[in-house]
Amino acid sequence: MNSFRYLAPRSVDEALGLLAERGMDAKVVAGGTGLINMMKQHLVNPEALIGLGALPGLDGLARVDGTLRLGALTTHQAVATSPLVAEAAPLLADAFARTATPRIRNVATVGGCLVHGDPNQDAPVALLALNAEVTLASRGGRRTLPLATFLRDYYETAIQPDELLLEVNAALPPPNAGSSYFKFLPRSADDYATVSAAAVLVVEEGTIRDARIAIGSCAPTALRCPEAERLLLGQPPSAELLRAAAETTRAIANPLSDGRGSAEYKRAMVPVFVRRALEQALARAVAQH
Amino acid sequence: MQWLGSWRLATRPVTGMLGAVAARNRPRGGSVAAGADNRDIRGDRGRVELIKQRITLTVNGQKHELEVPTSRTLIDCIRYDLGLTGSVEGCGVGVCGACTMLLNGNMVSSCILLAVMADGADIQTIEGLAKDGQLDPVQQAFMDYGGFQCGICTSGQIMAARSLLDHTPRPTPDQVKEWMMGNLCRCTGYYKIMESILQAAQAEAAQ
Repeated sequence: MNSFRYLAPRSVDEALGLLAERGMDAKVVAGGTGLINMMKQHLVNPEALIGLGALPGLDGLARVDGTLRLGALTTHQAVATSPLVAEAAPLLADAFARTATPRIRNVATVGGCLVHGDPNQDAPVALLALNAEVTLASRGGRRTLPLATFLRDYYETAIQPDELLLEVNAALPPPNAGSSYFKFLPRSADDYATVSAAAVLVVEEGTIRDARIAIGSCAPTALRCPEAERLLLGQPPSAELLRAAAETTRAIANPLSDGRGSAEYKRAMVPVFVRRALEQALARAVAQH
Repeated sequence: MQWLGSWRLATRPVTGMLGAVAARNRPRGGSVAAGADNRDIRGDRGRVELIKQRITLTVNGQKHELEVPTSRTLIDCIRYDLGLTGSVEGCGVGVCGACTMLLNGNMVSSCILLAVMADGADIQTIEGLAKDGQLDPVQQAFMDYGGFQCGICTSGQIMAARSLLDHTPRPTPDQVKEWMMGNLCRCTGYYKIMESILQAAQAEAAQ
Protein backbone atom coordinates (compact mmCIF):
# COMPACT_ATOMS: atom_id res chain seq x y z
CA MET A 1 0.00 0.00 0.00
CA ASN A 2 1.11 3.61 -0.47
CA SER A 3 2.57 5.60 2.37
CA PHE A 4 0.27 7.89 4.33
CA ARG A 5 0.12 9.94 7.47
CA TYR A 6 -1.55 8.29 10.46
CA LEU A 7 -3.46 10.57 12.81
CA ALA A 8 -4.95 9.34 16.06
CA PRO A 9 -7.31 11.95 17.54
CA ARG A 10 -8.07 11.71 21.27
CA SER A 11 -11.54 13.23 21.15
CA VAL A 12 -14.49 13.51 18.77
CA ASP A 13 -13.84 17.27 18.51
CA GLU A 14 -10.26 16.67 17.50
CA ALA A 15 -11.38 14.06 14.94
CA LEU A 16 -13.92 16.49 13.46
CA GLY A 17 -11.23 19.18 13.27
CA LEU A 18 -8.94 16.81 11.35
CA LEU A 19 -11.81 15.88 9.03
CA ALA A 20 -12.65 19.55 8.39
CA GLU A 21 -9.00 20.19 7.51
CA ARG A 22 -8.20 17.18 5.37
CA GLY A 23 -11.36 15.11 4.95
CA MET A 24 -10.95 15.16 1.17
CA ASP A 25 -7.58 13.38 1.33
CA ALA A 26 -8.11 11.32 4.46
CA LYS A 27 -10.03 8.17 5.28
CA VAL A 28 -11.35 7.28 8.70
CA VAL A 29 -10.37 3.86 10.02
CA ALA A 30 -11.92 2.01 12.96
CA GLY A 31 -11.31 -1.76 12.81
CA GLY A 32 -9.87 -1.57 9.33
CA THR A 33 -11.14 -4.97 8.17
CA GLY A 34 -12.67 -3.37 5.07
CA LEU A 35 -10.42 -0.37 4.44
CA ILE A 36 -7.01 -1.98 4.97
CA ASN A 37 -7.89 -4.69 2.45
CA MET A 38 -8.89 -2.00 -0.07
CA MET A 39 -5.64 -0.12 0.57
CA LYS A 40 -3.59 -3.29 0.17
CA GLN A 41 -5.17 -3.73 -3.24
CA HIS A 42 -4.49 -0.08 -4.15
CA LEU A 43 -8.24 0.51 -4.58
CA VAL A 44 -8.04 3.33 -2.04
CA ASN A 45 -4.89 5.43 -1.55
CA PRO A 46 -5.54 8.07 1.10
CA GLU A 47 -2.96 10.73 1.97
CA ALA A 48 -3.85 10.27 5.62
CA LEU A 49 -5.67 7.84 7.86
CA ILE A 50 -7.61 9.09 10.85
CA GLY A 51 -7.57 6.20 13.31
CA LEU A 52 -10.39 6.10 15.83
CA GLY A 53 -8.82 3.49 18.11
CA ALA A 54 -8.02 6.01 20.84
CA LEU A 55 -11.43 7.72 20.84
CA PRO A 56 -13.27 7.18 24.09
CA GLY A 57 -17.04 6.99 24.44
CA LEU A 58 -18.02 6.03 20.91
CA ASP A 59 -18.69 2.38 21.70
CA GLY A 60 -21.40 0.73 23.72
CA LEU A 61 -25.01 -0.38 23.55
CA ALA A 62 -27.87 1.25 25.39
CA ARG A 63 -31.62 0.96 25.47
CA VAL A 64 -33.28 4.36 25.55
CA ASP A 65 -37.08 4.06 25.72
CA GLY A 66 -38.05 2.14 22.60
CA THR A 67 -34.71 2.61 20.92
CA LEU A 68 -31.46 0.66 20.87
CA ARG A 69 -28.45 2.93 20.57
CA LEU A 70 -25.35 1.40 19.03
CA GLY A 71 -22.18 3.49 19.31
CA ALA A 72 -20.16 3.66 16.09
CA LEU A 73 -17.13 1.90 17.58
CA THR A 74 -19.11 -1.01 19.05
CA THR A 75 -17.62 -4.21 17.64
CA HIS A 76 -19.68 -6.83 15.84
CA GLN A 77 -18.79 -9.32 18.57
CA ALA A 78 -20.09 -6.97 21.27
CA VAL A 79 -23.46 -6.74 19.50
CA ALA A 80 -23.55 -10.47 18.70
CA THR A 81 -22.97 -11.46 22.34
CA SER A 82 -24.93 -8.72 24.11
CA PRO A 83 -27.73 -10.05 26.36
CA LEU A 84 -29.53 -6.73 25.85
CA VAL A 85 -29.58 -7.15 22.06
CA ALA A 86 -30.52 -10.85 22.29
CA GLU A 87 -33.54 -9.91 24.38
CA ALA A 88 -34.62 -6.67 22.70
CA ALA A 89 -33.78 -7.32 19.03
CA PRO A 90 -32.86 -10.98 18.42
CA LEU A 91 -32.63 -10.51 14.64
CA LEU A 92 -29.89 -7.96 15.18
CA ALA A 93 -27.94 -10.39 17.36
CA ASP A 94 -28.39 -13.02 14.60
CA ALA A 95 -27.20 -10.70 11.84
CA PHE A 96 -24.09 -9.58 13.72
CA ALA A 97 -23.32 -13.13 14.91
CA ARG A 98 -23.40 -14.43 11.35
CA THR A 99 -21.01 -11.83 9.96
CA ALA A 100 -17.61 -13.22 8.88
CA THR A 101 -15.68 -15.00 11.65
CA PRO A 102 -15.27 -14.35 15.40
CA ARG A 103 -11.81 -12.97 14.65
CA ILE A 104 -13.18 -10.34 12.24
CA ARG A 105 -16.14 -9.60 14.52
CA ASN A 106 -13.70 -8.76 17.33
CA VAL A 107 -12.42 -5.84 15.27
CA ALA A 108 -15.07 -4.77 12.74
CA THR A 109 -17.30 -1.99 14.08
CA VAL A 110 -20.94 -1.03 13.60
CA GLY A 111 -20.06 2.40 12.19
CA GLY A 112 -17.32 1.04 9.95
CA CYS A 113 -19.72 -1.52 8.53
CA LEU A 114 -22.31 1.13 7.62
CA VAL A 115 -19.97 3.68 6.05
CA HIS A 116 -18.24 0.90 4.10
CA GLY A 117 -21.52 0.62 2.17
CA ASP A 118 -20.98 -2.93 0.96
CA PRO A 119 -24.40 -4.30 -0.07
CA ASN A 120 -23.34 -7.82 0.92
CA GLN A 121 -23.12 -7.06 4.61
CA ASP A 122 -25.49 -8.46 7.22
CA ALA A 123 -26.00 -5.67 9.73
CA PRO A 124 -27.59 -3.11 7.36
CA VAL A 125 -30.33 -5.59 6.42
CA ALA A 126 -31.38 -6.20 10.02
CA LEU A 127 -30.99 -2.50 10.90
CA LEU A 128 -33.21 -1.49 7.95
CA ALA A 129 -35.95 -3.77 9.27
CA LEU A 130 -35.64 -1.90 12.58
CA ASN A 131 -36.10 1.54 10.95
CA ALA A 132 -32.60 2.50 12.03
CA GLU A 133 -31.32 6.07 11.85
CA VAL A 134 -27.70 7.17 11.73
CA THR A 135 -26.28 10.25 13.44
CA LEU A 136 -23.49 12.07 11.61
CA ALA A 137 -21.38 14.88 13.01
CA SER A 138 -19.16 17.52 11.49
CA ARG A 139 -17.72 20.83 12.69
CA GLY A 140 -20.93 22.39 11.37
CA GLY A 141 -23.21 20.32 13.61
CA ARG A 142 -25.09 17.06 13.70
CA ARG A 143 -27.67 15.50 11.47
CA THR A 144 -29.72 12.35 11.65
CA LEU A 145 -31.00 10.48 8.65
CA PRO A 146 -32.75 7.19 8.04
CA LEU A 147 -30.43 4.31 7.17
CA ALA A 148 -32.55 3.78 4.05
CA THR A 149 -31.45 7.20 2.71
CA PHE A 150 -27.92 6.93 4.10
CA LEU A 151 -27.19 3.87 1.94
CA ARG A 152 -26.97 5.12 -1.62
CA ASP A 153 -25.14 2.76 -3.96
CA TYR A 154 -22.35 0.21 -4.12
CA TYR A 155 -19.85 1.43 -1.51
CA GLU A 156 -21.50 4.83 -1.53
CA THR A 157 -23.29 6.47 1.38
CA ALA A 158 -24.57 9.95 2.20
CA ILE A 159 -21.65 10.67 4.55
CA GLN A 160 -19.64 13.75 3.59
CA PRO A 161 -15.83 13.96 3.67
CA ASP A 162 -15.91 16.13 6.82
CA GLU A 163 -18.40 13.93 8.68
CA LEU A 164 -18.03 11.18 11.25
CA LEU A 165 -20.72 8.59 12.00
CA LEU A 166 -21.33 8.74 15.74
CA GLU A 167 -24.15 6.30 16.41
CA VAL A 168 -27.00 4.24 15.03
CA ASN A 169 -30.41 4.14 16.65
CA ALA A 170 -32.68 1.18 15.94
CA ALA A 171 -36.39 1.24 16.79
CA LEU A 172 -37.01 -1.81 18.96
CA PRO A 173 -39.99 -3.92 17.94
CA PRO A 174 -42.73 -4.28 20.58
CA PRO A 175 -42.36 -7.24 22.96
CA ASN A 176 -45.02 -9.25 21.11
CA ALA A 177 -43.23 -8.98 17.76
CA GLY A 178 -41.52 -11.89 16.06
CA SER A 179 -38.37 -11.29 14.06
CA SER A 180 -35.82 -13.23 12.07
CA TYR A 181 -32.71 -12.91 9.93
CA PHE A 182 -31.93 -15.45 7.21
CA LYS A 183 -28.60 -15.66 5.41
CA PHE A 184 -28.20 -17.99 2.46
CA LEU A 185 -24.66 -19.41 2.55
CA PRO A 186 -24.12 -22.11 -0.06
CA ARG A 187 -20.31 -21.93 0.22
CA SER A 188 -18.65 -21.37 3.60
CA ALA A 189 -19.95 -20.14 6.94
CA ASP A 190 -17.79 -16.99 6.92
CA ASP A 191 -18.88 -15.88 3.44
CA TYR A 192 -21.01 -12.93 2.41
CA ALA A 193 -24.61 -13.94 1.79
CA THR A 194 -25.80 -15.10 -1.61
CA VAL A 195 -29.01 -13.40 -0.53
CA SER A 196 -30.23 -12.40 2.94
CA ALA A 197 -33.58 -11.38 4.41
CA ALA A 198 -34.79 -9.84 7.66
CA ALA A 199 -38.40 -9.71 8.84
CA VAL A 200 -40.29 -8.24 11.77
CA LEU A 201 -43.98 -9.08 12.27
CA VAL A 202 -46.46 -7.94 14.90
CA VAL A 203 -49.66 -9.98 15.08
CA GLU A 204 -52.57 -8.88 17.26
CA GLU A 205 -56.03 -10.42 17.40
CA GLY A 206 -55.32 -12.59 14.40
CA THR A 207 -54.22 -9.68 12.20
CA ILE A 208 -50.81 -8.49 11.04
CA ARG A 209 -50.43 -5.03 12.64
CA ASP A 210 -46.87 -4.30 11.58
CA ALA A 211 -44.61 -5.84 8.96
CA ARG A 212 -41.06 -4.84 8.06
CA ILE A 213 -38.98 -6.69 5.52
CA ALA A 214 -35.47 -6.00 4.24
CA ILE A 215 -33.20 -7.86 1.84
CA GLY A 216 -29.45 -7.86 1.24
CA SER A 217 -26.87 -8.95 -1.35
CA CYS A 218 -29.37 -8.44 -4.16
CA ALA A 219 -29.15 -4.74 -5.10
CA PRO A 220 -26.64 -1.85 -4.87
CA THR A 221 -27.73 -1.40 -1.24
CA ALA A 222 -29.72 -3.35 1.30
CA LEU A 223 -33.39 -2.68 0.54
CA ARG A 224 -36.71 -2.41 2.32
CA CYS A 225 -39.60 -4.21 0.60
CA PRO A 226 -42.56 -1.80 0.84
CA GLU A 227 -44.88 -3.70 -1.49
CA ALA A 228 -44.54 -6.93 0.45
CA GLU A 229 -45.10 -5.04 3.71
CA ARG A 230 -48.27 -3.39 2.34
CA LEU A 231 -49.66 -6.73 1.23
CA LEU A 232 -49.31 -8.13 4.75
CA LEU A 233 -50.68 -5.22 6.78
CA GLY A 234 -54.16 -5.68 8.19
CA GLN A 235 -54.43 -9.26 6.91
CA PRO A 236 -54.81 -12.48 8.87
CA PRO A 237 -51.51 -14.38 8.50
CA SER A 238 -51.54 -17.50 6.34
CA ALA A 239 -48.98 -19.54 4.43
CA GLU A 240 -50.45 -18.32 1.12
CA LEU A 241 -50.29 -14.68 2.19
CA LEU A 242 -46.65 -14.93 3.26
CA ARG A 243 -45.80 -16.66 -0.01
CA ALA A 244 -47.58 -13.99 -2.07
CA ALA A 245 -45.87 -11.17 -0.16
CA ALA A 246 -42.47 -12.81 -0.55
CA GLU A 247 -43.06 -13.24 -4.28
CA THR A 248 -43.30 -9.44 -4.76
CA THR A 249 -39.65 -9.02 -3.65
CA ARG A 250 -38.39 -10.72 -6.82
CA ALA A 251 -39.26 -7.58 -8.78
CA ILE A 252 -37.06 -5.24 -6.70
CA ALA A 253 -34.06 -7.56 -6.62
CA ASN A 254 -31.30 -6.40 -8.94
CA PRO A 255 -28.33 -8.59 -8.03
CA LEU A 256 -24.92 -9.04 -9.66
CA SER A 257 -23.54 -12.38 -10.76
CA ASP A 258 -20.52 -13.42 -8.71
CA GLY A 259 -18.97 -16.45 -7.09
CA ARG A 260 -21.92 -16.71 -4.73
CA GLY A 261 -24.44 -17.26 -7.53
CA SER A 262 -25.62 -15.91 -10.86
CA ALA A 263 -27.90 -12.89 -10.90
CA GLU A 264 -30.70 -15.13 -12.13
CA TYR A 265 -30.19 -17.61 -9.31
CA LYS A 266 -30.05 -14.89 -6.66
CA ARG A 267 -33.23 -13.31 -8.03
CA ALA A 268 -34.95 -16.68 -7.70
CA MET A 269 -33.65 -17.14 -4.15
CA VAL A 270 -34.81 -13.73 -2.85
CA PRO A 271 -38.51 -14.66 -2.50
CA VAL A 272 -37.55 -18.05 -1.06
CA PHE A 273 -35.52 -16.52 1.75
CA VAL A 274 -38.00 -13.70 2.36
CA ARG A 275 -40.73 -16.34 2.75
CA ARG A 276 -38.58 -18.33 5.20
CA ALA A 277 -37.81 -15.17 7.18
CA LEU A 278 -41.52 -14.30 7.30
CA GLU A 279 -42.49 -17.83 8.36
CA GLN A 280 -39.98 -17.81 11.19
CA ALA A 281 -40.95 -14.29 12.29
CA LEU A 282 -44.60 -15.34 12.31
CA ALA A 283 -43.89 -18.49 14.32
CA ARG A 284 -41.97 -16.40 16.85
CA ALA A 285 -44.71 -13.74 16.98
CA VAL A 286 -47.33 -16.42 17.61
CA ALA A 287 -45.14 -17.99 20.29
CA GLN A 288 -45.16 -14.65 22.15
CA HIS A 289 -48.89 -14.95 22.86
CA MET B 1 -18.22 5.53 -9.95
CA GLN B 2 -19.23 8.36 -7.73
CA TRP B 3 -18.45 6.37 -4.62
CA LEU B 4 -14.76 6.81 -5.18
CA GLY B 5 -15.33 10.49 -4.54
CA SER B 6 -12.18 11.90 -3.03
CA TRP B 7 -10.39 8.55 -3.04
CA ARG B 8 -7.48 8.56 -5.40
CA LEU B 9 -7.41 5.54 -7.66
CA ALA B 10 -4.12 3.78 -8.13
CA THR B 11 -2.78 5.15 -11.39
CA ARG B 12 0.35 3.05 -11.50
CA PRO B 13 -0.11 -0.64 -12.33
CA VAL B 14 0.95 -2.96 -9.56
CA THR B 15 4.08 -4.72 -10.78
CA GLY B 16 2.89 -7.97 -9.26
CA MET B 17 5.18 -10.94 -9.87
CA LEU B 18 8.02 -8.89 -11.33
CA GLY B 19 7.96 -6.46 -8.45
CA ALA B 20 7.97 -9.32 -5.98
CA VAL B 21 10.97 -10.94 -7.65
CA ALA B 22 12.84 -7.63 -7.78
CA ALA B 23 12.13 -7.03 -4.09
CA ARG B 24 13.36 -10.47 -3.22
CA ASN B 25 16.58 -10.08 -5.20
CA ARG B 26 17.47 -6.73 -3.70
CA PRO B 27 20.29 -6.95 -1.15
CA ARG B 28 18.87 -7.16 2.35
CA GLY B 29 21.76 -5.47 4.13
CA GLY B 30 21.92 -8.32 6.59
CA SER B 31 18.63 -7.52 8.27
CA VAL B 32 15.17 -8.91 7.77
CA ALA B 33 13.77 -5.43 8.30
CA ALA B 34 15.20 -4.24 4.98
CA GLY B 35 13.37 -7.05 3.19
CA ALA B 36 10.16 -6.00 4.84
CA ASP B 37 10.67 -2.37 3.82
CA ASN B 38 11.01 -3.48 0.22
CA ARG B 39 7.60 -5.13 0.45
CA ASP B 40 5.97 -1.82 1.30
CA ILE B 41 7.15 -0.15 -1.85
CA ARG B 42 6.68 -3.13 -4.14
CA GLY B 43 4.89 -2.00 -7.26
CA ASP B 44 5.34 1.60 -6.29
CA ARG B 45 9.03 2.15 -6.74
CA GLY B 46 8.75 5.72 -7.96
CA ARG B 47 7.72 6.69 -4.48
CA VAL B 48 10.07 5.42 -1.88
CA GLU B 49 9.77 7.89 0.98
CA LEU B 50 7.99 6.03 3.74
CA ILE B 51 6.24 8.02 6.41
CA LYS B 52 7.23 6.54 9.74
CA GLN B 53 5.85 6.80 13.21
CA ARG B 54 6.99 5.83 16.70
CA ILE B 55 4.84 3.25 18.45
CA THR B 56 4.93 1.19 21.62
CA LEU B 57 3.92 -2.46 21.60
CA THR B 58 3.96 -4.84 24.53
CA VAL B 59 4.57 -8.24 22.97
CA ASN B 60 4.46 -11.32 25.17
CA GLY B 61 4.97 -9.11 28.22
CA GLN B 62 7.97 -7.29 26.80
CA LYS B 63 7.69 -3.61 25.93
CA HIS B 64 9.08 -2.49 22.58
CA GLU B 65 9.45 1.07 21.33
CA LEU B 66 9.99 1.17 17.60
CA GLU B 67 9.64 3.30 14.53
CA VAL B 68 7.57 1.75 11.75
CA PRO B 69 6.26 2.86 8.36
CA THR B 70 2.59 3.76 8.82
CA SER B 71 1.76 1.20 6.12
CA ARG B 72 3.42 -1.66 8.04
CA THR B 73 0.92 -4.39 8.91
CA LEU B 74 1.06 -5.80 12.43
CA ILE B 75 2.15 -9.22 11.13
CA ASP B 76 5.10 -7.68 9.25
CA CYS B 77 6.03 -5.61 12.28
CA ILE B 78 6.01 -8.68 14.54
CA ARG B 79 7.91 -10.83 12.04
CA TYR B 80 10.42 -8.41 10.54
CA ASP B 81 10.86 -5.65 13.11
CA LEU B 82 10.71 -7.86 16.18
CA GLY B 83 11.94 -11.09 14.60
CA LEU B 84 9.11 -13.20 15.99
CA THR B 85 8.48 -15.44 13.01
CA GLY B 86 6.17 -17.96 14.69
CA SER B 87 3.13 -16.10 13.33
CA VAL B 88 2.78 -16.43 9.57
CA GLU B 89 0.87 -14.60 6.91
CA GLY B 90 -1.35 -16.83 4.80
CA CYS B 91 -4.02 -15.17 2.71
CA GLY B 92 -3.23 -11.56 3.62
CA VAL B 93 -6.91 -10.60 3.56
CA GLY B 94 -8.14 -11.71 6.98
CA VAL B 95 -9.77 -14.94 5.88
CA CYS B 96 -7.43 -17.88 6.62
CA GLY B 97 -6.46 -17.26 10.24
CA ALA B 98 -2.75 -18.18 9.91
CA CYS B 99 -1.71 -14.77 11.33
CA THR B 100 -4.06 -14.96 14.35
CA MET B 101 -2.64 -13.30 17.45
CA LEU B 102 -4.20 -11.83 20.58
CA LEU B 103 -4.58 -8.05 20.83
CA ASN B 104 -5.54 -6.94 24.33
CA GLY B 105 -6.79 -10.49 24.92
CA ASN B 106 -8.90 -10.81 21.78
CA MET B 107 -7.91 -12.73 18.68
CA VAL B 108 -7.37 -10.64 15.55
CA SER B 109 -6.09 -11.01 12.00
CA SER B 110 -2.72 -9.27 12.15
CA CYS B 111 -2.45 -9.12 8.34
CA ILE B 112 -5.24 -6.54 8.01
CA LEU B 113 -4.32 -4.52 11.05
CA LEU B 114 -1.72 -1.77 10.86
CA ALA B 115 1.05 -1.68 13.43
CA VAL B 116 0.22 1.99 14.12
CA MET B 117 -3.37 0.97 14.91
CA ALA B 118 -2.00 -1.34 17.62
CA ASP B 119 0.06 1.44 19.27
CA GLY B 120 -0.04 0.94 23.03
CA ALA B 121 -1.62 -2.50 22.79
CA ASP B 122 -0.78 -5.69 24.60
CA ILE B 123 -0.06 -8.44 22.08
CA GLN B 124 0.37 -12.14 22.58
CA THR B 125 1.91 -14.36 19.93
CA ILE B 126 2.69 -18.07 19.78
CA GLU B 127 6.16 -17.34 21.19
CA GLY B 128 4.63 -16.12 24.43
CA LEU B 129 2.55 -19.21 25.22
CA ALA B 130 5.13 -21.50 26.80
CA LYS B 131 5.94 -20.55 30.40
CA ASP B 132 9.18 -21.56 32.16
CA GLY B 133 9.97 -24.16 29.53
CA GLN B 134 6.50 -25.69 29.86
CA LEU B 135 4.34 -25.73 26.75
CA ASP B 136 0.86 -24.27 27.02
CA PRO B 137 -1.76 -27.05 27.41
CA VAL B 138 -3.06 -26.17 23.94
CA GLN B 139 0.40 -26.57 22.39
CA GLN B 140 0.91 -29.85 24.26
CA ALA B 141 -2.48 -31.18 23.12
CA PHE B 142 -1.79 -30.29 19.47
CA MET B 143 1.41 -32.38 19.74
CA ASP B 144 -0.17 -35.24 21.67
CA TYR B 145 -3.25 -35.54 19.46
CA GLY B 146 -1.72 -34.73 16.06
CA GLY B 147 -3.42 -31.35 15.62
CA PHE B 148 -1.25 -30.42 12.67
CA GLN B 149 0.19 -31.81 9.48
CA CYS B 150 2.19 -29.35 7.37
CA GLY B 151 2.19 -26.78 10.17
CA ILE B 152 1.54 -23.58 8.22
CA CYS B 153 -1.79 -22.87 9.93
CA THR B 154 -0.72 -24.23 13.32
CA SER B 155 0.37 -21.11 15.19
CA GLY B 156 -2.89 -19.40 14.15
CA GLN B 157 -4.92 -22.46 15.13
CA ILE B 158 -3.24 -22.59 18.52
CA MET B 159 -3.70 -18.86 19.21
CA ALA B 160 -7.38 -19.07 18.24
CA ALA B 161 -7.82 -22.16 20.42
CA ARG B 162 -6.05 -20.40 23.32
CA SER B 163 -8.45 -17.48 22.92
CA LEU B 164 -11.42 -19.87 22.90
CA LEU B 165 -10.37 -21.52 26.16
CA ASP B 166 -9.68 -18.11 27.72
CA HIS B 167 -13.28 -17.11 26.95
CA THR B 168 -14.98 -20.52 27.24
CA PRO B 169 -12.96 -22.94 29.38
CA ARG B 170 -15.19 -25.98 28.68
CA PRO B 171 -16.47 -25.57 25.12
CA THR B 172 -18.85 -28.02 23.47
CA PRO B 173 -17.76 -29.50 20.10
CA ASP B 174 -20.21 -27.10 18.41
CA GLN B 175 -18.69 -24.12 20.20
CA VAL B 176 -15.24 -25.22 19.06
CA LYS B 177 -16.45 -25.47 15.45
CA GLU B 178 -18.13 -22.07 15.58
CA TRP B 179 -15.11 -20.37 17.15
CA MET B 180 -12.53 -22.02 14.88
CA MET B 181 -14.45 -21.57 11.63
CA GLY B 182 -12.11 -18.78 10.52
CA ASN B 183 -8.94 -20.86 10.85
CA LEU B 184 -8.42 -22.81 7.67
CA CYS B 185 -6.28 -25.94 7.32
CA ARG B 186 -5.48 -26.94 3.75
CA CYS B 187 -4.34 -30.36 4.98
CA THR B 188 -7.95 -30.56 6.26
CA GLY B 189 -6.83 -31.98 9.57
CA TYR B 190 -9.90 -30.57 11.25
CA TYR B 191 -10.89 -33.65 13.28
CA LYS B 192 -7.47 -33.82 14.91
CA ILE B 193 -7.58 -30.07 15.59
CA MET B 194 -11.02 -30.43 17.20
CA GLU B 195 -9.79 -33.34 19.29
CA SER B 196 -6.66 -31.45 20.37
CA ILE B 197 -8.69 -28.45 21.53
CA LEU B 198 -11.23 -30.54 23.43
CA GLN B 199 -8.40 -32.49 25.08
CA ALA B 200 -6.61 -29.24 25.99
CA ALA B 201 -9.82 -28.01 27.64
CA GLN B 202 -10.03 -31.24 29.62
CA ALA B 203 -6.38 -31.03 30.64
CA GLU B 204 -6.82 -27.46 31.84
CA ALA B 205 -9.95 -28.34 33.78
CA ALA B 206 -8.05 -31.15 35.53
CA GLN B 207 -5.27 -28.79 36.65
